[in-house]
Amino acid sequence: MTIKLTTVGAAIALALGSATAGAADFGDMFSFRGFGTLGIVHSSENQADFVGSVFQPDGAGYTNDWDLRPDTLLGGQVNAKFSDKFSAVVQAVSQHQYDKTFTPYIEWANIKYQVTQDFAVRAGRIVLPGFLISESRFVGFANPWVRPPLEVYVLSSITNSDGADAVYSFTTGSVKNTVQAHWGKSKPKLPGGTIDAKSIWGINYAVEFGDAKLRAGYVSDDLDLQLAGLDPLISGLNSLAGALRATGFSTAAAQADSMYRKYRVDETKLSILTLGASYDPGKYFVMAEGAIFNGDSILSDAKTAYVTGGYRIKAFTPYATLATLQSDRIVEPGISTTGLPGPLAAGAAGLNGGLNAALASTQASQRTAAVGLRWDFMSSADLKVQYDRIKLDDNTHGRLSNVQPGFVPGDVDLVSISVDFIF
Amino acid sequence: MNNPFNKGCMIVAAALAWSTFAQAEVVVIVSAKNAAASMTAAQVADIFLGKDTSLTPFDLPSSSAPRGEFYTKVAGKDEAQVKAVWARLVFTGKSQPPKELASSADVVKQVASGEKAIGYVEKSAVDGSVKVVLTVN
Repeated sequence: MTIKLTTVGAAIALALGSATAGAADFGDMFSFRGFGTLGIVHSSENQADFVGSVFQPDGAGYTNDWDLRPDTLLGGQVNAKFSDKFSAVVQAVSQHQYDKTFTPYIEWANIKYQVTQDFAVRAGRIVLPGFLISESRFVGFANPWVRPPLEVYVLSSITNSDGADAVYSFTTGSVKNTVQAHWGKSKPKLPGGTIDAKSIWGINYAVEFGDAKLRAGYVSDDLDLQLAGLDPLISGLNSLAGALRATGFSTAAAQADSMYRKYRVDETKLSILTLGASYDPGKYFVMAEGAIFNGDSILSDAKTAYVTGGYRIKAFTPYATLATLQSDRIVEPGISTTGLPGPLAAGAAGLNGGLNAALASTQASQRTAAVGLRWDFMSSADLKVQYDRIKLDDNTHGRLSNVQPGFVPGDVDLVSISVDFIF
Repeated sequence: MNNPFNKGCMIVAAALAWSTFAQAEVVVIVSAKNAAASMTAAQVADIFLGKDTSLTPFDLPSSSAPRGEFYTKVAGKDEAQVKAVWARLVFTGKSQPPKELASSADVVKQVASGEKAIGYVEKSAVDGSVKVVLTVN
């Protein structure tokens, strides 16, 4: 099934029309609600694409000067309440994905059992909770910006997992505490491969007092990365190690073998430690988050953070954001080609170069300064205009994708206009 | 006595009295059977913004004057902000927004019949079946 942007556009037009009509309730047991964003973005960089997530193959900049696809999405959700204890939620989302279609997929689908008023368990597809707004990252109307800061939010590109979680809430004085533990697996498709997350587990702790919220989280992933661009490189290292060993070049063989073991991506273990805080007394809001990414294999360690704030003047909310992402730069010295015969030396040099290029492409380092204005022109819809200036470090394309040979790292300007709505 | 200044004062006083009257006082009500004698604005705001689930809140229609008054004064949020808060809860499967009832009379009826119900109405709509726990001002 191929669903094009025009279909999504028509659906969004319908949804916007019904935004005033409001949510539909079918008796007391089921309710249907939806959300969406119709957004367009322009990037000044014409040798790479600005994309909304790692799952999007192309976007604004190289492919399209102005592109509707990075930010546009539509979501629909059915809530069911079977009894005081049992409830269920199913949410489908349509957005630009790996195969260049907007084919809807299921983001949430779980059954919740409220054991006591303070304790609940869920089973099924659950959205991963790592960051402050992870669970509502696609609901533009609920968020201050056109999109969450990609420096931080793309760190955990897997948004949901199939498994179970348990949530315990307790109140101490006027402080509300929530502890959540989750486990599951996920297998999302990338433009050039698949992330097979065999095990994702994590724990989160949130504290709310009045208008302030603090959140800390830890998530650990056990991944098998199947990447079309990388697999030949890894198997190449293995066969070169064999060829070198067979021809008696034991030092070079050992180098190739250790690189093969280090960079094979079938047992990649990652972890992310997150910390976030927000304060929203109504007139203004401030929000900050930071994360430490502990990588493995070709994914290097990284640190990232953002701070954002806005001030509400009737229906208008001007806002500003600063974000940073710094990945450790690893340069692999590679297999020593000294003394190797011609064909083996050429093979080794090719693999050294390929591996360093792959490393460089995953080591995203960039900083963004953004300013924007949100206008709540209806009680269920807003219009946002945002300007981002992204500064890319040398030798990195940052969060940009579909990088062309003519690409030179530098500054990138983004202009985004979006309409968010709920119904 | 027939001083134009006094006359002016009287007109101003009448205008002030009229404007107070026009902006009907909004009160927060619970069932007469509910043990609570009074509640703070913060407690009420937590219930209507989904942070506290010990009582079930009921809303008046979006366009009604008491609703705007209630959320602005009790929660410090306008309609769009309240909707954004609920969108965050609804689309994460956490809870459902307050059920909207058509009129103050309906809210009084609903609150009177449910021990765990809470609502807000103009003071003039209150009768003996419900108890005022907070006056919004």
